[in-house]
Amino acid sequence: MKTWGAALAALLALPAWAEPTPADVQKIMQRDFHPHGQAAMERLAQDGVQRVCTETRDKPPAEVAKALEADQMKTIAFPAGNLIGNIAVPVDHRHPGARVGRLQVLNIIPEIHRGDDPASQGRHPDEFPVTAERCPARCAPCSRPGRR
Amino acid sequence: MRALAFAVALTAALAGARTAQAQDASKEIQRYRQMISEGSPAELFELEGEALWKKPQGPKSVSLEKCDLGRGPGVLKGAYARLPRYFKDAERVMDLETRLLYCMTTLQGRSPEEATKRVFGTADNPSEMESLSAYIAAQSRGMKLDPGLAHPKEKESVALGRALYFHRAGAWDFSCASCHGEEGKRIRMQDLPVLYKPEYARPIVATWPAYRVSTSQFVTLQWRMNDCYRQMRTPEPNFGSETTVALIHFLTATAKGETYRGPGSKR
Repeated sequence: MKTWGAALAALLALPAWAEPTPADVQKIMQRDFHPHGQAAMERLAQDGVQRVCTETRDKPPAEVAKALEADQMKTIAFPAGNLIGNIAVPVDHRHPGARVGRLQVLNIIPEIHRGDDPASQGRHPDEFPVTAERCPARCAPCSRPGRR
Repeated sequence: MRALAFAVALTAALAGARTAQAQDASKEIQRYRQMISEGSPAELFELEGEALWKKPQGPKSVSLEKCDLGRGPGVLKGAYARLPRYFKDAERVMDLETRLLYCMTTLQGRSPEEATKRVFGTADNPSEMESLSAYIAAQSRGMKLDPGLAHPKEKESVALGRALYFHRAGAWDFSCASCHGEEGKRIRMQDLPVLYKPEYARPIVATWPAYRVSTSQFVTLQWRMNDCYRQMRTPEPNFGSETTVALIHFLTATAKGETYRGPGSKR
């Protein structure tokens, strides 16, 4: 009786219909899609990570996930040099003391400190690009806003 | 010790404030949806769809009034609520739009190229398929969603739809579940429901096709599948393909039993 119960439970646990494998799905998608602009058909071919994630419903075993993550990290090439360029640490004069978010910098560039370089005084930011040489770390925070 | 207690209290207060804010935003979104659902322009598309349903077209110059959407030739009442389903004459599972395309080619004698030339319209110029979908879906209002699930081809279609839902591909490594796989996700004002769970799929599927306020367009489920794949940066799915129909079938099967309340309104 127990055996029958277990068999029935196993049967009920099965999906209503066997799902196609990722390889089958890829074949169907290759048939059902067409290239569109820069999206070529190659984009439908799964790589190893996509395949593992598909087969495990995005929950690969911890060791596998760790190995995949390490592999993927190796593919990230960091740009050489300074990631934020030569811009000085910006300070928003409308809100003294507040830190300025990376994206906000673009909006307030005309207002950022020019530093204590006398050559910057009274000049429009466009005429006086901020560089690390002209505005070293010691000038931030400084106190003279550039003229708009 | 006092400082620690203060810090704990402050953290709790901030967390509480954040939760209250999220709830307020959620309520406001709900209120907005309620407002746009009242007086939806979907009715105008239904009227246009009715005219197109009755209009003789194609080389045979006949209307679609004899089109069999699964309930018998010309029977519209409750037809949409029972789609997608297997059609013996076409030997495949079809959703509403695929079936309409079948009728356009068989009854009206139109070529598939001509009939699918402009399946997704614009705000100024809606497509024939969109207006027809609005009209036909409206004839199922108040009925329970009951897609075909008994035929082996229907079971196969739902299983394929489920597999596609979780299938990762493309340059951005996306599957449907990347956006619709985790509870509590939202993009801007739009909730991202976990559509493989019935409690989330039901209210959503029961209001498609729908008028989309942000683009002033009437949009269909075939469009939804197409645009999701576009956002996933994959090539474009063919209109009415087994892939798009299977996904629609899977979502409708998940929403089975919900009362149809469409055509609805989306943000």
